[in-house]
Amino acid sequence: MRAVTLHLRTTPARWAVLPLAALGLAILFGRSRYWIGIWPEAGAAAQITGYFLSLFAAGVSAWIAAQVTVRGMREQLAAAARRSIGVEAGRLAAAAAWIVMAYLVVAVAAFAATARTFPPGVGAFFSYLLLGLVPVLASTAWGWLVGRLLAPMLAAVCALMGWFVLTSLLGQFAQSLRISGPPWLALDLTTILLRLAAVIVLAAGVCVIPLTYRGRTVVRALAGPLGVALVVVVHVNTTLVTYRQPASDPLCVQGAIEYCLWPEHEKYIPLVKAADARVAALPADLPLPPRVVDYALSGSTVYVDLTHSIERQGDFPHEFDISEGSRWGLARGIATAISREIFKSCAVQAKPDPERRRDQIFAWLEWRIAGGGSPDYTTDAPGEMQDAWTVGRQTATRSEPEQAEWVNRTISEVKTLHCHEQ
Amino acid sequence: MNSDRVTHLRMALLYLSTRKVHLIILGAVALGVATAVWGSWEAATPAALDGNETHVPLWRLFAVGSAILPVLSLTGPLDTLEAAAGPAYFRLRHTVLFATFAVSFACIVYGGALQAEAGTVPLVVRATPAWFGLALLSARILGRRSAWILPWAVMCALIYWGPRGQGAYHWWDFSASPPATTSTAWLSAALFALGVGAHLLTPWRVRTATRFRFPRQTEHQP
Repeated sequence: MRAVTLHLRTTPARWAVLPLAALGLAILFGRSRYWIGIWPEAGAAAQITGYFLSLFAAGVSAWIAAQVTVRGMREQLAAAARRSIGVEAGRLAAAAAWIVMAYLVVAVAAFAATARTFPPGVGAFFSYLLLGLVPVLASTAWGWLVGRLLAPMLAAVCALMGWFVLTSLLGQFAQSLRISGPPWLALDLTTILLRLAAVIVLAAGVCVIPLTYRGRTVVRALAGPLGVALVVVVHVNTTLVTYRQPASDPLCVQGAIEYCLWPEHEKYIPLVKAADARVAALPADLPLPPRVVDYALSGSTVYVDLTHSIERQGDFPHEFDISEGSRWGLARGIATAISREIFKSCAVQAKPDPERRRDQIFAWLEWRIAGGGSPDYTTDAPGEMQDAWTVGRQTATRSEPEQAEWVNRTISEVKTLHCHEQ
Repeated sequence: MNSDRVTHLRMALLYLSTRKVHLIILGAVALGVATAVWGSWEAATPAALDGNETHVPLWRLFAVGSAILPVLSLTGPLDTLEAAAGPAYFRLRHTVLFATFAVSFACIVYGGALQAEAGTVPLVVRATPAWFGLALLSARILGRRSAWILPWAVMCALIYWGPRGQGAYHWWDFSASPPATTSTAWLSAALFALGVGAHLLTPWRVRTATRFRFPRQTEHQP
């Protein structure tokens, strides 16, 4: 115990805590703040800082591990009464503890930011937090390995570049990095714990690397690279992210339409209510759908895994995507649902309309429900469709009676000319 | 005269062997090869944009590495002692520093020219001197073994805050914004100059400069 406290008090990693915590806080808050108030998104935001801290941790750890060689202490340590494995484990644990401390500072800040409103679903926050711990610890162990195996001069640079490449490959093939944490995705806790266990095995393997190469110690030197292989294998062969089943008790708001959200999206209720007020204020008397729901909440899609899904036949409420608190995303979903309701009786293979009046109506609805302004998304839709959207949006700026007259006329034109099979 | 030259040569060889310059050159060549082979592979990284990720081609990372490597030639176990060495020694140190940078620069630029993605070379040419400047600055402020810290911190900032959405970058992202941006080229040149300036601003030069201004303060007190 005294040895551990001694290492904690002397490791150079203690100097890294404040800069790393500052970097983490800058990364956490120096971005769009939509994550504040949604637990899984807050967890994902904290986890992203874990990614950046891991980029530094590799260099810091390699720097510290190489310190023994720089000071010319290898022989002394190897000849010490205590076994070098224990000494190394103590040094590595102390370095990791200080680096994790910086991550914890960020985690506490992320928790505090969202805990003020305390929406449902706090468990997901901790899942993401644990996920962010995996790269932090893995890079510390990786850096230590590089610091022990390479010349001290090159250790830090090689460690951080190697770690960037390794973590990018893991991100590509094992989804080890989550960019956002929407409530319809769930992290598998067993997978995270398994990955964490592999990382701890790697850390243990790194400590086994001998200080001096005499006799049969070369075999022990393989422990580190084998640990890296284990981490890679465990990462690639475990599934981290799955789609959740639609929530059985979604958060529903009754207005002109009934809106149902994932319970985690509690903070978006004012946004939904504002959109509903604008739906109620539409100048024309339009048929409204009974219900629209949050993304992946209607049950119309069965998700096999992250990339494969099956669409089910049947009558499901339309979905909107309110991610990142986008009123345009919400408006898009509601506008699509309303325009489908308007043209419900039309044949699927109706006569094509060169003016795309249905798209004009859609764009008008979208603009009205979003509350005006310019959309927050970019599009690569075909030119004639974008022209139709422009017509709809321009109409939305005219006087209310004019709009009502235009909407009723356009709808009846579509219904008479472009609604029936050709 | 002749013996002087031999002494210089012996000193140069000793210096090169203590600084493990062969490792630095090896690293630079490896990074050049890596740039040629994997340079255009794009790693998905988080960005400060709304829920977006961006993609960082690996050559941007390798450019940071190839700029830090030459600065590592300054590290040595007897730094403090060497600070008292004569001008010939410092000339040698500068020569090795800039020669290794030239080699490293040539390797990464050639690697960039060989890789699949077109238009990388101007970006490499612009980014690498800026990273070199930052590494020199970091070495001056934080110590020579910590030359990687400042460039890496800046790299993290560029990865995270540099993208502006839809494949565009802020002008100050000197490793990604379009090569035609004049202000970015000036920024890169300024960082290079800042780094070289910081490197030339040795402790004794600072002392000489301050002694010139404040003669009494630096007088030795008995």
